[in-house]
Amino acid sequence: MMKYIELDTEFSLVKTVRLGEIVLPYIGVGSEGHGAPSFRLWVSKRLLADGRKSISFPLLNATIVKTGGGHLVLVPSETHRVLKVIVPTRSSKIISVQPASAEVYRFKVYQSPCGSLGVWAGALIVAPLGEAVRVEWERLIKKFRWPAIARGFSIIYPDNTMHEEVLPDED
Amino acid sequence: MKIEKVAVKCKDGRFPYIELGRFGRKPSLLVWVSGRLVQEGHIFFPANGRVVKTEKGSFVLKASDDYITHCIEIIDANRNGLPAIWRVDPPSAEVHEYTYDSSITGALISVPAGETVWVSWRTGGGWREGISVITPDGKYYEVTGFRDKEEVEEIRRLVDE
Repeated sequence: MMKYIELDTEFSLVKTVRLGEIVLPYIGVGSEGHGAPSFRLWVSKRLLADGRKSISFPLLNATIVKTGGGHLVLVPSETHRVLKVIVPTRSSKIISVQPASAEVYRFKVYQSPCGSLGVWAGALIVAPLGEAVRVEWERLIKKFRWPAIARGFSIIYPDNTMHEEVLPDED
Repeated sequence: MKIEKVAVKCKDGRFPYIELGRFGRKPSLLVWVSGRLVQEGHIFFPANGRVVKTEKGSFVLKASDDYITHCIEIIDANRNGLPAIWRVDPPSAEVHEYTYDSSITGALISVPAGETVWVSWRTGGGWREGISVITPDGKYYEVTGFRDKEEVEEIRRLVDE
């Protein structure tokens, strides 16, 4: 069965920024011009206990905190989980995410250094534990005339299984 | 970028000085230096000294054990205008800026010995901003994406707690 969105489960290697005595671990999220990440996601050292050198999503018991300067920090939480979803076609979009309490941090994945071969849409979604997440998306899809842009939604259940549907054309 | 050493010139064979930056044909900043700080024809940074301004407006790098002087340069290769050094911590730091035509801003920064220096800068047009940190032993770190020291401290608190 075709998957319309991907739940990214790859390991992200933790890098560090060093400023004198200060060491800040982070992972780069997304991939824009010439491989530059869309943003740095700083990682709490409590999530890197036992010498862990990578982070993989979906991450249970974690949330993302936004600082006053607009930086994002991944910290432990007992009430939330963090998902990483990608809509893997060019010209794709993540239109909305439910429940409304879910926080969405969008990023892009360029398929070539300047994105000429397509830009995939992605998002980190912070959702309450135990609640299903509904992601409404727009992407290219194989139809009788190809390619065609279609809208649909995916429901990601707490056990990370997915139910996906394409919405009928409005015209 | 940290400047490690600058060649010393000599006026009348008696008065050593260094030229920093360039404004047309002239140096942007001319600093007379204490002979005690000259080694092998160069001034090595960080230097054990302090830049002071004389009554007539000349700058002199005087040897001192209580102060350290660092030399850094911020480079903007995109011709968007001069980079700006807009904040230096600690506030007691004495900053003497110089420029190279229209793409490099440098600074001699004198601070009490043993203090870490935080320099907030942005390139011309605000395309890139970042922070440079110089430790008392002269190690230099540069990271883009930060505005000032408080931003770093806020992330550090969240990461460490």
